[in-house]
Amino acid sequence: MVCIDNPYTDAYFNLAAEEYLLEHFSGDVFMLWQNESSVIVGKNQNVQAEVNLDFAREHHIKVARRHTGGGAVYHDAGNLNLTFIETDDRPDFGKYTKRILTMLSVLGIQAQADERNSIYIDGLKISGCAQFIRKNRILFHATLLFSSDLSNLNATLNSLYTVPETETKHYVKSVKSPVTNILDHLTEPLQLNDFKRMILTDLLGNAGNSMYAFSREDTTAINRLKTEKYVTNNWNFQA
Amino acid sequence: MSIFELKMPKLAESITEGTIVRWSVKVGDTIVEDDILFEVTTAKVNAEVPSPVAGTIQKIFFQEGETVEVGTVVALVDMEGGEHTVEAESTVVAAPEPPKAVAAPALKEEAKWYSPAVLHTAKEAGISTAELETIAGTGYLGRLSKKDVSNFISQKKNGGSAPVAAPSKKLLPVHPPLPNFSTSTESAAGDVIVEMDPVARIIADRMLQSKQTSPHVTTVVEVDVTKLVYWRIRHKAEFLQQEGIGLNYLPAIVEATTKALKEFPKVNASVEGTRFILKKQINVGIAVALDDGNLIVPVIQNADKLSISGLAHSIDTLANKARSNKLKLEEIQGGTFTITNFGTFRNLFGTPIINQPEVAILGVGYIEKKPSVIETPEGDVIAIRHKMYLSLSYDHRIINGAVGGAFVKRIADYLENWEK
Repeated sequence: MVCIDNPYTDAYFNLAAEEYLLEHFSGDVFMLWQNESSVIVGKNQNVQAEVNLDFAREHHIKVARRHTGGGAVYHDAGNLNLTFIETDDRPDFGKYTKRILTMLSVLGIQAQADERNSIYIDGLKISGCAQFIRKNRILFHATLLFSSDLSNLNATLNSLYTVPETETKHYVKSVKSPVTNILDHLTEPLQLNDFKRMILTDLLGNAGNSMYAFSREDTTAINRLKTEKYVTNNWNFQA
Repeated sequence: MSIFELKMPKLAESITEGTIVRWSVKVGDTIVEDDILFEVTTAKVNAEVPSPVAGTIQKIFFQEGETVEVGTVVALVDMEGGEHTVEAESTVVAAPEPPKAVAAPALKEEAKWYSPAVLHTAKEAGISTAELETIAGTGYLGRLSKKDVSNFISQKKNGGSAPVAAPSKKLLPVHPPLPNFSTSTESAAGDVIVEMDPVARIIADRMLQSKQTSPHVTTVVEVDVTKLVYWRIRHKAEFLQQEGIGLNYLPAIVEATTKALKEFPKVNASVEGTRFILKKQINVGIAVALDDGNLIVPVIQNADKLSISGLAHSIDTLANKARSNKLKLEEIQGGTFTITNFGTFRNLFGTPIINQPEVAILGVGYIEKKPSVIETPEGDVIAIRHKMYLSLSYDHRIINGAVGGAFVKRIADYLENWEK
């Protein structure tokens, strides 16, 4: 497995990077990444029904659509994203959640997962996940609220619009849960960067894992995909 | 003419239905194998479903927005040039969820299914079914694609025998897949099948990897630890009073080991490709058995810098944290040498497996009284002495017999002459 500590924080670039890695890499990939303030809706969601677009605009929060299913999530510098890309004919997405629970347990955090593979501390959500399957390539990604601005999170995901009942198109509705930050549950303070380093160090301890950084060829192709798809209104605001 | 029934695939474990959000094809379209046909969504998963066959879309039963159960026929494909009717397909995707215990054999059955295009190509080239079974499939659900068979045929023509699928994508360093631990699926009535928990899987993987990475050699010395035993008897009450924890032999063994490691840098090392990396730090891992049957190796960082009481506290704290699942990541990584104490279970000696990427591991045996021949100026006498075996498994790529043997003997010397 190659491990990528992705230095870019543009949501559109990063979502394009995921699709690029799924499509153009043949081996297993693990990527840690963060976005500057953004709201990311699921592939089959109605943006207007999920995002308070006025609040997002006023607070310079990017609105982006990802390739995976699931509901809308808020990202900022206090949120960490983990992506696993593998080749698997019969994926069991629960295994990735178990890996994340193991990562959390080394921080001394006893978290629980529900049947949707969301992760909770004392009933408060810290992580949501979603998946994408293209032929036998699968992508699982999850968020981890480490030290996010939770009031921005709640305000951004609070849309007053509801899809009219006459609408025939199938939209996935977000499942809302009360949230918390991991940092508030640690006995000793920890920087998010140190947490990232711990995760990577642990993974690199496994034989066959190595670090990988995007090449110039990679970033060129990712930027092209970003421009053609992920940054466009056509993709992000599709009705 | 033969008709292929295209069914809603089972996308992942625990998924029983999906909503079709987009058709990429319409009735009358000609498709080739692996073309994306439609997009399915569940609450969490978005999936693009490819066609396992080539042909023409004859009928589509469900419209965008409709939710369909796994196994339901969603479309019919009229296969071009098909001389084989594909009733077999109904056992492929539509098979009802097999019970857990027989899941593996069911998957094997699936792997033997071949698309008409594959069978046709194989037949033309005179490839038998037995030969087909030897080709690695790269298609959907690991099936053979027409390309796999064509590659096999051209290799066969060129005199090549190894069926290797040509990778078309960017190649990355990928660890060779581990043998499937669950291949032996035959089980008799009353057998219990236990799924490995994640930790057990990691342990299994690492043990196998270690044996595949390092040529292991084990050597054993017998140590007269009588002095050490009396030292402990003299100090244990006072130690418990002053330090609040019991005094056992392990801190002394760790101290003797770190002294020996300083003299034998090749034992405190790693092998990376064609290089030896001699580690500056001496971080000693202690294998701890957990109540759930698993094993963890917390690490005493810079063990050579600690006193006996420092080592005792460090071992005690790490073992307690390990058993209560409170170890932090930095407490289980960075080890440069490992000690496993199977003497606890009254075992004498063993052949422990090296904890990668380290190059040696010391097994500590049970201490017991034995009659021993002691040489004195007045002649040999038989005396009752406390004896223990130390077993050292080492990586013969970096440590040869002379170094490995001398290293473990040096630890023994320190312990035999223990005076504090």
